[in-house]
Amino acid sequence: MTGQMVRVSPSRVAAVPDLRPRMPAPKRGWLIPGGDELFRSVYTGFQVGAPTSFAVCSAVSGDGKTTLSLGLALTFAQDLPDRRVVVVETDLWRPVLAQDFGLEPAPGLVDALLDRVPTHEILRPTSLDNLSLVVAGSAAGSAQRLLRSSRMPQVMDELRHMHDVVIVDTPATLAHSEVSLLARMVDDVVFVVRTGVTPAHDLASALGRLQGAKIRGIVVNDARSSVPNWVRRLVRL
Amino acid sequence: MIERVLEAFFRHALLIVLPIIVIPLVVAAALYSTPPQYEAQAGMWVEQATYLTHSDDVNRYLSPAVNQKNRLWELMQTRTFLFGVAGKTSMKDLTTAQNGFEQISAIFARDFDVTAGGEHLLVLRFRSEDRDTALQVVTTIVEMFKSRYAADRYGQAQVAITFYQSRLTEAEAQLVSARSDLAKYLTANPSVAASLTTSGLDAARVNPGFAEAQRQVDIAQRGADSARDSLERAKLDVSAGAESLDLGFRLTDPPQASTTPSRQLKKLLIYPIAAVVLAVVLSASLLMLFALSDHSVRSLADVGPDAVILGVLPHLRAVGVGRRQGPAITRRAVGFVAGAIVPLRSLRGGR
Repeated sequence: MTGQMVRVSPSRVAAVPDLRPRMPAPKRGWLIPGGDELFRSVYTGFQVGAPTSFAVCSAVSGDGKTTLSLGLALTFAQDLPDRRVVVVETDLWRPVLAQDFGLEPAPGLVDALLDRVPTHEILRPTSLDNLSLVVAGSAAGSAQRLLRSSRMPQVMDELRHMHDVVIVDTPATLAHSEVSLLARMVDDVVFVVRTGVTPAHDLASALGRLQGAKIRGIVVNDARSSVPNWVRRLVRL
Repeated sequence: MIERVLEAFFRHALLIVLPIIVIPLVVAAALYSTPPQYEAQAGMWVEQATYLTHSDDVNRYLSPAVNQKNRLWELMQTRTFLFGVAGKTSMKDLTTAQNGFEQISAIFARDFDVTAGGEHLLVLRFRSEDRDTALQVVTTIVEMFKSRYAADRYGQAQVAITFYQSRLTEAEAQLVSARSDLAKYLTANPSVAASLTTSGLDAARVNPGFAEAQRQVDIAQRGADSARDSLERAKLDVSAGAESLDLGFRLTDPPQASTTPSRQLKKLLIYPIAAVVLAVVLSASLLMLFALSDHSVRSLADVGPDAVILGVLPHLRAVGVGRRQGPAITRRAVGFVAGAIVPLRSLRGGR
């Protein structure tokens, strides 16, 4: 057989077990130059020390809640390797995490809320050992009811017990009233606005809806100006 | 506000600047694509007919030139006058065309111009691609306007003559009747007649009947005299108007056409300037529209004075990913460290 080419059918290849030694996945770097430093500057703004949980909210969709949640979670996980971090996707209307990470949609948060699976089974590992994801889960008929159910605080408590940092990626505040409930289940709320997207009056309305929650502050996302620097200097903006 | 306006300007710079470039260019191109024209012009010296007894058809507060200019513009609105002018020029065919009046009106509105160059000078201009047509039109307008003016004045005077003639006839009839009544009274009252001839007594004072008859005669006489005077004045107007037409309408500059075709200076200057002004107004309106309709958060000041800013993330741009990076690509690029999938077609050079 040595030195001889053997033509085999794909079905036969599939049947042969992969006996190659398991190699650890190569460590991935940041695709965004300086991305870790950017997110680090945000979280140092609210000084994470003890086990904590916080929700990332925004007035409307597309403001960058998931991006900020992931960025913060990654920076936490990389900077604090001894801490366990989890990102919980609670936007059951527009879930993206499973698709972004090439994961099966279930089991996820919905499955835990419906008591189909225990909470520890909905945790999805990532390339980072101390970072887990909780995706939205199976399509739910009545997402509002699930997020408002008594099971939701229980799941949150369980996640808090299992992790040091729980980051809740919420739906748009103005579109879904459940966000105010979610905000009260966590220690802090971080609000995201996207320049050129978030209407100023919507921001005020959304912050009004979150009254009762502890809003740590606002992260301005996608802050870019079309005005050239020389013009800014000229008119002293 | 200035930041918002600047932001709107630089964000939509192309859209805002485009009208300022395109509109004047289009106008300039349109101007230079139209063929040059010959211009014919004539100057008329017009006088107010101060010697005429009636002048109801002139506005005393306007100069003679402006009065005549207004008359001419009014005439240019009429089908009869326009067809009359067009019928004597190369535009003759248009008079029988289906929408000839509209076409002729459009031509005159575009190419004909009459200006009052002072108190008395009336300048008529017409532009055409054909030199003869330009000359014909101006000549015909001058002739028709002049004859129309004379005809109007003559017609008005004739109406006045007819009217005063009938008034005079009527007054004379009344005078004859009053005189007849007086004669009858004197015949019926010989003593009154005698007293008139023999004594120096004033018969009118002693006899009321005679006084009344005499008064009627006097009234009729005055009426007849007045009507006669008016008639005489009207007749004078007719003859004066006819004889002084040349004085009232003196053609100081006979119609002349330019020897070389040219583009109208007014069009060459005013239209591009107007285009630039229009474009600037349009661009400014667009800019204000963009600035005022943008209610989104643009700076930290829009977030609110009391807000705690935890951080400011710039526009995140992943390395090695295509230029067009939507929010989904950016999100995946952030999650790439933890295993997120960045679409392979977006990856360049691998990582």
